[in-house]
Amino acid sequence: MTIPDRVPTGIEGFDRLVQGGFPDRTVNLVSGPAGSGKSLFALHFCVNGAFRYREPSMYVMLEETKSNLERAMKAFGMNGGLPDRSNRFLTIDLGELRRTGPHGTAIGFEELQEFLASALKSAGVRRLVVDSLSAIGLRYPTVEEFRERLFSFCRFLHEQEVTTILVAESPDGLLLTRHGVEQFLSDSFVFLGLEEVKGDLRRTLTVRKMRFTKHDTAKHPVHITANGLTVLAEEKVT
Amino acid sequence: MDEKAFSEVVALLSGEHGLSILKYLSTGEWRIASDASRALGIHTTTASKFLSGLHRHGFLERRIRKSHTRRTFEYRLPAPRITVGLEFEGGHEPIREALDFYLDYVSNVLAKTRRLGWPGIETQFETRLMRNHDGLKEHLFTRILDGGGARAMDDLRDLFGEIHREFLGIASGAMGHATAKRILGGAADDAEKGREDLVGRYRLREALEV
Repeated sequence: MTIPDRVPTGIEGFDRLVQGGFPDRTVNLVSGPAGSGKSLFALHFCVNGAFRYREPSMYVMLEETKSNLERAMKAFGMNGGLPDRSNRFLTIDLGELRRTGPHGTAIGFEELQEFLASALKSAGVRRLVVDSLSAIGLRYPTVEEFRERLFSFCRFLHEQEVTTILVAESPDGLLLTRHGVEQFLSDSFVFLGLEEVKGDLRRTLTVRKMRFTKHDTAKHPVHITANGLTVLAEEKVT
Repeated sequence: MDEKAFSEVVALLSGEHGLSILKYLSTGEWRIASDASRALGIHTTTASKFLSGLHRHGFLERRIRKSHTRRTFEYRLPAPRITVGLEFEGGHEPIREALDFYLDYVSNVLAKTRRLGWPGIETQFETRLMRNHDGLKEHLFTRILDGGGARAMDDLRDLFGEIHREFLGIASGAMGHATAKRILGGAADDAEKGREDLVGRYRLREALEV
């Protein structure tokens, strides 16, 4: 069932699990181990937003490079592999700031917020991806400080006219997120898993939390094909 | 400034009416020589000689006031404070090297904003680079053709100071002041690498500070 005020991701299978998409103007966490498809999920959200739903979208990279992102778009045939002439899809490499900062310091929530406060308005952004929180986490020596800053950052995002995906890393099979607090501060939590079954790695997706939504809670298989990421909504991993 | 320019300025300022004319101009309003002459009870030629001399050394701003019958120069002191500096450099200033530093800075700014990915900013930067900045560019190149000297270095700093402030204004409007400062600061750091002595000795970074 699809309900109003949803922001569809356009990812095949996923929107059906969550009543049509993420709730409008919420902060959503997508977490998983390396190789689970987090960045691809977030890229679909932005690219589909810009080209299919015509909403200005911004993908802020803190660790990935712009050329890698462009290669991924080309590899998965996003936007037909065509360059964006409309400027509705902005890819911002804030890693550039990290390189030029004093002694190569990591970008913190304060700098990111200061940037977004101007950038979201000047570009009229409606969809935002921050990839990833783990890169920002390097700035804070304790989990408490990270949590406090993330809390303020999420409050700031809630005041903007934007639906956000925060990408986070889960460092191993035991933890869902690196700091163990990210999921408590976001409105939704989508976990992408990577499981070894008989020597093969299989990708999965679970919607662990989504406010204002009657969402599916099962673990679903995920395939990455030539067209990108697909969630098999009808199938469950047992 | 070099020794020759310094001597000229000192002679001008120590003249009988030098300081009173400067004080008269310190309000920042545009005045012509005859205004100063009337206000201070001195001959117009004396006022005119003093004003054009201080303008030549870069202390006063000048523009043309047009009337139906003639064109007159009017002058003003941009700030109620002047600084006279003397550099013993034997007339040779590494203008070309300093220009290379500033050009590298500009090129780094363009490259960094391109890599950052903000559309349109690079074009806005390039548009600003084409401007003459109230005659500064023309003034600077005339000085370089005249053989450079300390004033050419000052003009170079002034020109790139203006360009830097414009870059900062454009970038701050799009991506916030702190981000803009970080990008421009990084561009200057990269340009400084390998020429730290030159940049420090001739205070080239001062023009790129906010």
